[in-house]
Amino acid sequence: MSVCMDKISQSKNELENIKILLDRKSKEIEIIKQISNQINKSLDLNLIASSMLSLMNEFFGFKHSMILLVSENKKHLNVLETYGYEKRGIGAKVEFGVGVIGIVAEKKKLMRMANLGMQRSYMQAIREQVQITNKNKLQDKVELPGLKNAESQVAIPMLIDNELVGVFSVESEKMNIFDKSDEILIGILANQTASALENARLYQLEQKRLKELNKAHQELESLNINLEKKVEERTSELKTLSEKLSKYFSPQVYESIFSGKLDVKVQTKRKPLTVFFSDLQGFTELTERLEPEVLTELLTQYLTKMSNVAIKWGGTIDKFIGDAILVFFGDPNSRGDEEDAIACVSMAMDMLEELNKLRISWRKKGLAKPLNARMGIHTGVCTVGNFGSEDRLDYTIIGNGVNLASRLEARAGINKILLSEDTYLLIRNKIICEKKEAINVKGISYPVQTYEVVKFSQENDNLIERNIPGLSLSIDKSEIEDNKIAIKVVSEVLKDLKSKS
Amino acid sequence: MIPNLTINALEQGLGHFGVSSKNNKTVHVDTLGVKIDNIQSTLTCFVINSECKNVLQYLSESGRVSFFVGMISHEAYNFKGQFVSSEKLNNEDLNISENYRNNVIDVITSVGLSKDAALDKFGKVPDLGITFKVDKVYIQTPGPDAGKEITNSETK
Amino acid sequence: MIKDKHMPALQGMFPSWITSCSSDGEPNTTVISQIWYVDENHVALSFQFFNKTKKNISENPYAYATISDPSTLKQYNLELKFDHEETEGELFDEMDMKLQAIASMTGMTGIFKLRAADVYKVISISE
Repeated sequence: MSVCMDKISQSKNELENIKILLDRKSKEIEIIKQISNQINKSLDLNLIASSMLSLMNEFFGFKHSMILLVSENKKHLNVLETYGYEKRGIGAKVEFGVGVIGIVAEKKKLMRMANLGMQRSYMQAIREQVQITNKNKLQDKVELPGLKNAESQVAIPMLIDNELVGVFSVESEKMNIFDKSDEILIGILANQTASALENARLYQLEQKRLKELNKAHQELESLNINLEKKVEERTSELKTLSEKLSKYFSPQVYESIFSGKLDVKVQTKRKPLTVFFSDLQGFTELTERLEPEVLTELLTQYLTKMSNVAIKWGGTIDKFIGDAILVFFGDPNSRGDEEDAIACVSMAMDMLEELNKLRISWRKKGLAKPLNARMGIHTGVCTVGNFGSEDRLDYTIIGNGVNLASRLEARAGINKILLSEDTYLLIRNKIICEKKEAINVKGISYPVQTYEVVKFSQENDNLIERNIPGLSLSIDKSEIEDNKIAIKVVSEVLKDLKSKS
Repeated sequence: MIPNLTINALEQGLGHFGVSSKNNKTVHVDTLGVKIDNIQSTLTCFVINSECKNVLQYLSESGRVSFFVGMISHEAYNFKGQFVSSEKLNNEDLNISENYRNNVIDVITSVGLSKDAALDKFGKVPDLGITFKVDKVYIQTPGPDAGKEITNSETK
Repeated sequence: MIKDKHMPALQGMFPSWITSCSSDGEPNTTVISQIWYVDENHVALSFQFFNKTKKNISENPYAYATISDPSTLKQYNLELKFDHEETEGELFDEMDMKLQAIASMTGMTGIFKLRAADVYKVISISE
């Protein structure tokens, strides 16, 4: 009977124990659930940590605890949050391998230290002994975050896939902290917190990266805009500059340079060219008589007009020397020796016509003395290209041919064009010329036969042009509306002239 | 024989009384107070008989004693000697023990141990005194002198 | 032999004391900071430097130790017999970890070396 009673009593005890165990397990699960919920609510590192620590106090009575996170470079830990300490100590550093926390971080194993006071004194006593014998082996004592007089401490590694995320540390000034049976539970919670913290950390990192990306994007955009603007500005500057420069070059040369066809270096070649020289007779006297502004205006008008004509006929304007003009045909572009020569002579004739028009307009403005031109043209092999030094180039022509053209000009009649035989031979089919005397030119061994331009083969008979000193006559029959009036005018002039003699 | 400098520890530290048998087996028991004789040559350790298991047996076989006292501060000494006698405790002894025990309870609760536990352990009244003659005393305090014998010249 | 109820006494939260004996019969009682749990039938002591206990054990492997539960101050007495030394492995590492932690806090890294984990067989355990 009593054996039965014993057995019943024993079973009852066992049931009690099982019930206690079940209760405990339920409580544990409840704790895990609650803490889990709380810490996973947030993506804020500090909030997660401080929630966890205060919950640890609520459920386990941990009055002094802290969470440390592994640093970016994985060489030490930094205090993230603390609970129950006077000074919050956030950010304090713990090296791997130093103190309870440091060792736990290094070994990734839970460590429980009790009786710290005794062990510290014990170590301190040993230290004093070593001080006497082997002082240099000692290191300085380390200032670690936490209670100065902790008697017990437990440090738990916070792991994700066995990677250390941080350490959870609990201290107490009392000797005992918690049961071994709580160890497993707290281990679970520590790892849960590790996950939540890692999530938060990754999220923060993500946000940071996003921000940086946006910033970089914006910077790139503004850089682009700036670049575009700069390019625009530069282009416009270049345009202005090149426009200015173009005024110093013959269009063909300018074009050649810019298109890359003409290399910008000292480089010349010999080729057949038709060379044109002209200058204004009586211009020098004018320079002494006229005001500079008036003179400049005069010259500008003249040169502009003549340039336009040269360009119109495709000539390369070499240079202006005061009122003198040097133009050549055949470089940089050539239409063939014959065509070039014809173009040159045609240009010269055109220039004379333009000059005539200018004369009329100047007379109206009050210039009594008419300005007359002399022109000379020769076709021959010259050296053409970039002459000068490495730093200063001049695109021009040199050679005997150039000399000859200039001599011809000097010998030409007023408002006449004098050609060399070489040129004449090329143009005689298109333009009628009058044979003149042969001249001797320095540098050329033989006398040069010259020809004076008369008119185009099919000249326009509407034009009558006569020029002698004191007389400038210009009639365009196609422009006369009433021939009778024209005749009347001429007759009156004739009458006047006759009465003088 | 018993150095003056050890008296404080004897009066306030936790004591562990160890003995060996003729077969070199060992056993020990905790003390609940100590009496120093007036010529400072013997110590009488107060114990609870029922906790003594083989202590008296072993004493009768070899009579050799190692008595360790240690303070919370880690100051500690080892007293080696020879068993003299065991006897009942008189009032003086009980008084010494009571004072000792009250002090110990205070000390250990001050470092955070549970008062109930302290009372459990140190609340019991000893009923036996074991006297032994002290032959040698060693410093056991961790430090430069740990293990050193305290010689005659230092006893005063 | 060692049960769950004994575990709190093997955490090093309250000192233990051990009595060993030399070959010529002289007992030596001393206090140590921790007796470590190895398994049901074994415990271990840390061996840092030579002392009387270590010397005695080398002559006579038997010892008697007392461990205390820090919350109840309940004591358990163990009869021990020295079994073997371990200089590596989990037990050694665990002991070493603790040693290093304290040593590093007092600026003694590298000075305090754990020589071995001395493993003892538990012959009996009683209250």
